[in-house]
Amino acid sequence: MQAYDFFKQEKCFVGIYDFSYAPFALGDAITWQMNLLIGAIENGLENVVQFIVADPSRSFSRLQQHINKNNYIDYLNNLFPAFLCCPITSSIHLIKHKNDFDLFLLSNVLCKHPTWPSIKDHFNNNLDFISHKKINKFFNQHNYLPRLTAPKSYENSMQSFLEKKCMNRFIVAVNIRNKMFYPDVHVDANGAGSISRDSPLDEWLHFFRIAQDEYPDVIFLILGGYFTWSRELYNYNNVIIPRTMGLGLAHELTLLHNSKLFMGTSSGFSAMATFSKIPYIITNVEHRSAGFFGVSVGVSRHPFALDNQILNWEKETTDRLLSLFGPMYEAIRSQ
Amino acid sequence: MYQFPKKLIRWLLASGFRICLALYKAGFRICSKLYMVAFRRYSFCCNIMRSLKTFVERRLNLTRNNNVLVQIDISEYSPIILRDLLIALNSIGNQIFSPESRSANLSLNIYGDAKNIELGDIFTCCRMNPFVGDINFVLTDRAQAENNAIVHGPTEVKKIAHLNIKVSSDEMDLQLQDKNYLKAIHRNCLRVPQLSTRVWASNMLKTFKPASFFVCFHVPESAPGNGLSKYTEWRLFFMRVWETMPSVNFLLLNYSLNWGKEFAIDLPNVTLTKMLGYNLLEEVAIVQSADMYMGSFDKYAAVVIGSEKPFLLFGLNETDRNTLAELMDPASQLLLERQNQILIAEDISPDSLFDYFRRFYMLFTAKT
Repeated sequence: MQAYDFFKQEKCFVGIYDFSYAPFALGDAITWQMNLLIGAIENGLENVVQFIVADPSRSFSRLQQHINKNNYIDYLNNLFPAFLCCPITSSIHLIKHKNDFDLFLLSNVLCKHPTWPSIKDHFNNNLDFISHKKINKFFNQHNYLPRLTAPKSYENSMQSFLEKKCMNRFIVAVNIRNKMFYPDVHVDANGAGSISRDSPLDEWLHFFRIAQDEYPDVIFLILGGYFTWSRELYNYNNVIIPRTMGLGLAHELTLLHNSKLFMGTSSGFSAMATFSKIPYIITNVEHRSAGFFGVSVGVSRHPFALDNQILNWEKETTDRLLSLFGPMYEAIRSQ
Repeated sequence: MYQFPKKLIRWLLASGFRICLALYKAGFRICSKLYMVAFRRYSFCCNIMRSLKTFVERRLNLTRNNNVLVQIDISEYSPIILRDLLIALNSIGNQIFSPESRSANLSLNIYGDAKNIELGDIFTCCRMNPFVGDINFVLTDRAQAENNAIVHGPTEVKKIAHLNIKVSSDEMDLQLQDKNYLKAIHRNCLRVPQLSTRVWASNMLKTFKPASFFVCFHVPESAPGNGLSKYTEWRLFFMRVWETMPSVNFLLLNYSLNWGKEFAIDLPNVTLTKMLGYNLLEEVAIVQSADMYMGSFDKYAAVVIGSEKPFLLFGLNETDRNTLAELMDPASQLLLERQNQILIAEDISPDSLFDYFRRFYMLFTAKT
């Protein structure tokens, strides 16, 4: 592992994301980075070094059995920009040979550099990629929380897009979780599974239609893959879909950071908003998540939320969306 | 025979995982927790054993770690940095890999202005070389990058356009050529890593407009002589092709906020890939599946040069011309003496390009 010789010289915080036990998921990658950021600050370090392990000869996470050695690169390629959001990342290493890497960890990292997850947890194939336990604890101790930023190297990439397409408009980034048409959807015998967290698309469409008249200066940027939205959205003049312009996840995350407001279902993009500075309305928060977030069901804010960052635990209806959006719009406008 | 207990354990673990999930959902959380503890202990032992095995194998030289380390410094921003990177990757792939070497580990030092180069695209490009193993992005300043310099083994430092490339290996004496890279390679080793994407691109062209001649087309928006900002001239070119060669379809790989829609709406034989939402990887798959490539010497050209794919490159600047000088016959303007791979050194107007293209197309139709 010659490439890591520099690693011996200075102390840094080491992040390990091993796809043999961690999922290919935007929200989990974002939460992991947040844990790295606060881990580094707690240890008084200014550098984070990320090791992302994707060994095709080993099976991938048991939670995503549709991902295998033939298609993992596609998922990795799509997810990669999510690993660029930690502002103090000094290097990112994509590892293909897990055995070599584990040996490197034992010989060069153990007892020398703090890590997340701990080396013991890594060897146990154990990573807490969902909960906010560590994040809430940090906030309680320090009464502040550092925030994630737009993906590194993409910070200025969307300026011309915003100038040309959204000049003088109130930009709202929207993500509607809709896994029904996702090619790898899994549903269990009771019809539950990943689609149980989906949002009703019709209600959102109705909301956009009403917003056209009531808030003419608002432009909605629909984030997410092709499966999340319907073709009908092409016809709305207050809606832009960046994916249809050849833009990818990195650009979408940058657009999210350049928006006035984020609205959307509890999912990967909402995790990004949660750990950012922009105002948000996260809808349809799964009740089961309350335990992971360290809050009670129905609570309208994360413990570390800033002003104008709210949670809503109900399924979306047009009226509910309007009643959440209206006051937020006025509040941000008046600032 | 010894595989049997191993398989049995794996089967038990997999079944156990499903049982564990079922128990968890049924409310028996203690049972599932006990299972998870046992599972983690098993994983822990397996991982430690594998690491020790690797350690012993390396010590006893049972399996030699012949990975080559390639360090690429990107210190300045350039719009054609992806092209240079692809050229470097192709050059490296063809020059240094031998049956003994397992793969190349890339270390990309990115500093200075280059910090604005979109890392997602760089990652995509790196994965196009099938020999690439680990990829290390070091986002650092110049001084730190120099401290990170490779110290092991023989090191060869070469420059390919905007990149400084250092290759190091404990095992092999390496050579890396820069300007002559095309002479050295007879095949382009770059390809989209996913088979499914390659199959998709091939099928997409079959079903999109069957029996068409697909030309992937890319010129920068603001090239000196023939940038796509000269919209009217290009429009006339596409229209002339439509009138005289109706089975030709152009896939425009550009996207510009200024003129994107006009091309797609006005011209029946033009499709903008970005408006179909295709990303770089999908575009490369299409370029490699299409009938020919036409345009400037850029990242898309880098994935077809060296392959059998017909292409027509034009508007080469001085750097491009120097890079390709030894390969091009000035009289015939052919690359590597291939009849269907033409380079046009000077800037060319869309009007004059039409004649070149017609000749090219005749060559193709004569064969079929």
